[in-house]
Amino acid sequence: MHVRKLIERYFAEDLGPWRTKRMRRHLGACEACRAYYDEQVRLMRTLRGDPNTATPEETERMVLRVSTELGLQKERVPRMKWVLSFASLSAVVCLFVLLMWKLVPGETPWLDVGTEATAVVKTKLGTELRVYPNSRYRLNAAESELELARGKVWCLVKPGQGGFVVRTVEARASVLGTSFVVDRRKEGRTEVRVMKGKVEVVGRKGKAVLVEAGQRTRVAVASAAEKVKTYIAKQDRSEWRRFWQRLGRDISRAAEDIGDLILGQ
Amino acid sequence: MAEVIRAFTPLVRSIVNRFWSSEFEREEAAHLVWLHAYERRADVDPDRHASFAGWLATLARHRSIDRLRKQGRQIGPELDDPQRALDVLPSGEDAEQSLRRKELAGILSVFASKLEPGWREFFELYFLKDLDYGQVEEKLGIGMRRCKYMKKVLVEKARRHAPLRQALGLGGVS
Repeated sequence: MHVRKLIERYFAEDLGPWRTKRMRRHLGACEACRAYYDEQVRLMRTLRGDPNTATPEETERMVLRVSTELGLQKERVPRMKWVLSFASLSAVVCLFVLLMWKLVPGETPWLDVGTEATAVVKTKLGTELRVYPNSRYRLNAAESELELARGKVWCLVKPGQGGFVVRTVEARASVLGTSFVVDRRKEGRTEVRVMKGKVEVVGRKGKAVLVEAGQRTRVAVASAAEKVKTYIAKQDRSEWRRFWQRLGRDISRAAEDIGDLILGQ
Repeated sequence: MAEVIRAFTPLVRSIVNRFWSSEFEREEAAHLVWLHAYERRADVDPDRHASFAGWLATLARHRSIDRLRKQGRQIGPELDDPQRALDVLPSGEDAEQSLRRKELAGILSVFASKLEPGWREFFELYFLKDLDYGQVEEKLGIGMRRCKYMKKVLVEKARRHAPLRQALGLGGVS
């Protein structure tokens, strides 16, 4: 089995010490992988300006390897910090959302979703809210209205359970049984994109605009909603999917690191 | 030790480079040289700093020959001659090398111009201006993971960039 992926991760400084050792052992015996490794070295040097001059990273890797082997520097334990912080942040956000709903009657506080996290929230009425990274939002006590200060939220409203409203500074989108995205990642502009059903969008000025499945509209500060345009939902779906795939990869890497650590010791 | 390795790595490289063409083999050989140098550090006369380079060069040459023999490979007469093998003074950059470097710079500039703005910015900061991940993170406001990902993707893009492959004599993409 070849180790190309490990070689790529090694050069991106993304490979732990145990797997680095395993990779180098493999390279000693596999000509094809060694050729790929050499190619990566040459490319890395070329990108730095000269294919014949070693990069500073190469020297630092040598320093680290020699120092570790001589016991002058402690071997790094596989770094789990970022994986754990990423997963735990998501969990904490979700827990916090649930707790705040149960504990604080009336006005609910603003909730922030970190840059490396998402939140999935189920309201009492069955609406599923998928809050994207770097968003700030709050729900009213009845959980029928969401206020979005920044970021992006994908709402999957259950039909027959009453309406659901998303408000931003610029616009108000109200629906009955549908799937739609409200995007306010750019300050001063709200975009509403509808995947399924119909959404009524109102700006600070002008009349309400009816946005149907496969359509989108934008609302700027103190303006009316723009005319509807065509929208392809693939991008929002794949962004959400990518996030979860990344989380899956992080967890599987963490499991590999733990395995390496146990086997290594 | 780290400072010594940083300072004398170019010297060790210049010796082991003569014995192997594979970058991996060269790294392995240089690594062994440093391990031996540390083991035999008592042999170095602390009052004669100037002799350290010579001592290290001789050690590198001996270790390289030992390693080649262990691998069951022949040592050519040019490598067996200690004087020639230890001749590590830079010979100066010739016109051909300079031209080649210019050609590569041109190819990289075209490569960079085809990148999207965010990627181009990363490419320039990390590869051309030699900033480390921490500095790039600060400048672009992105995380470490994103930096590593961008580096990996850019190297792969460069690997598939036909003019660059041609200039480096790498052949077809596998």
